[in-house]
Amino acid sequence: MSRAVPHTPLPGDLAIWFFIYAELLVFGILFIAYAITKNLNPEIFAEGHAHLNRLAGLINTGALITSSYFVVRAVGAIKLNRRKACGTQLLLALAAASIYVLVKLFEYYQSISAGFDLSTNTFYTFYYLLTFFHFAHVLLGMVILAAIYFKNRTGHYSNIEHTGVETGASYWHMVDLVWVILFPLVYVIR
Amino acid sequence: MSVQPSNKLSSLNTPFVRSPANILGLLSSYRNGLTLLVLLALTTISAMLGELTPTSSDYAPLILVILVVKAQLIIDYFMQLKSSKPFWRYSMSAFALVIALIIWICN
Repeated sequence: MSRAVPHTPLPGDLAIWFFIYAELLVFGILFIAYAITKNLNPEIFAEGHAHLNRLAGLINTGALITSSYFVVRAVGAIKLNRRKACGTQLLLALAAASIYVLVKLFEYYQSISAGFDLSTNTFYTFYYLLTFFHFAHVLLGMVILAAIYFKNRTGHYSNIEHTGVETGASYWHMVDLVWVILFPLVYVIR
Repeated sequence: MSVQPSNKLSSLNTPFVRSPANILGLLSSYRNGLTLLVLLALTTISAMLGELTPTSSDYAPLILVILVVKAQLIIDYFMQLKSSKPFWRYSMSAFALVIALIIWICN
């Protein structure tokens, strides 16, 4: 007799998953538009790519992945009713995300100082559009993580009720997932 | 009269590793740590492959395979969709796979 494997419930609020799918759809369209435009303008994209700070992209990938790891640990901690540990992990996640923000701002400063702005060519239009749109999502994610941190400090979450932590975590992992695609697309593949 | 604590309460009062719930938590923590290390290693390999060829990306298919593997690790272990209903897991995986395929076709 076969026994059906029980499925775990979707982490967080169901509404966040509809929001995540909507966000992924928008990013997906932008990624496809980038890939097609690159195919049509290979010289412009090759030249633009040569000026990118690929080390900054690598550091940012590490920072976002590490931040996601701390968020997973924060969810694990609150499930065990370890509020203090949850708060510490959220602070570590925010610290890793801050590295991303600082490196990204430095990268923008470097590009703009070198005379590459939104109107330079098609590559830079896509580069700023894609990376800034993602950057805005990181900032929103950081605000959400900070809000969860303060709510956790005031005892809003426990091992019984932690939907808010899971919801914020799911959004943060979506931001991470998008960057995992954006990094090879924009920084690695020529 | 002594009252026997429930399982949930005893897991809060006993030392960290003794409770079955905490042992599961500890195992999950090791798994997530391993996932982080694999993701960081794959990111470094991917960046190095991109640096190998100065003019064209001959390694693009390999870089895209790495992209899909990394996305799957995030979906399964960070988003914790591995044991969720297949729709959620596979639709998320399909997103990464379709984007990777389109990038490969256009490259």
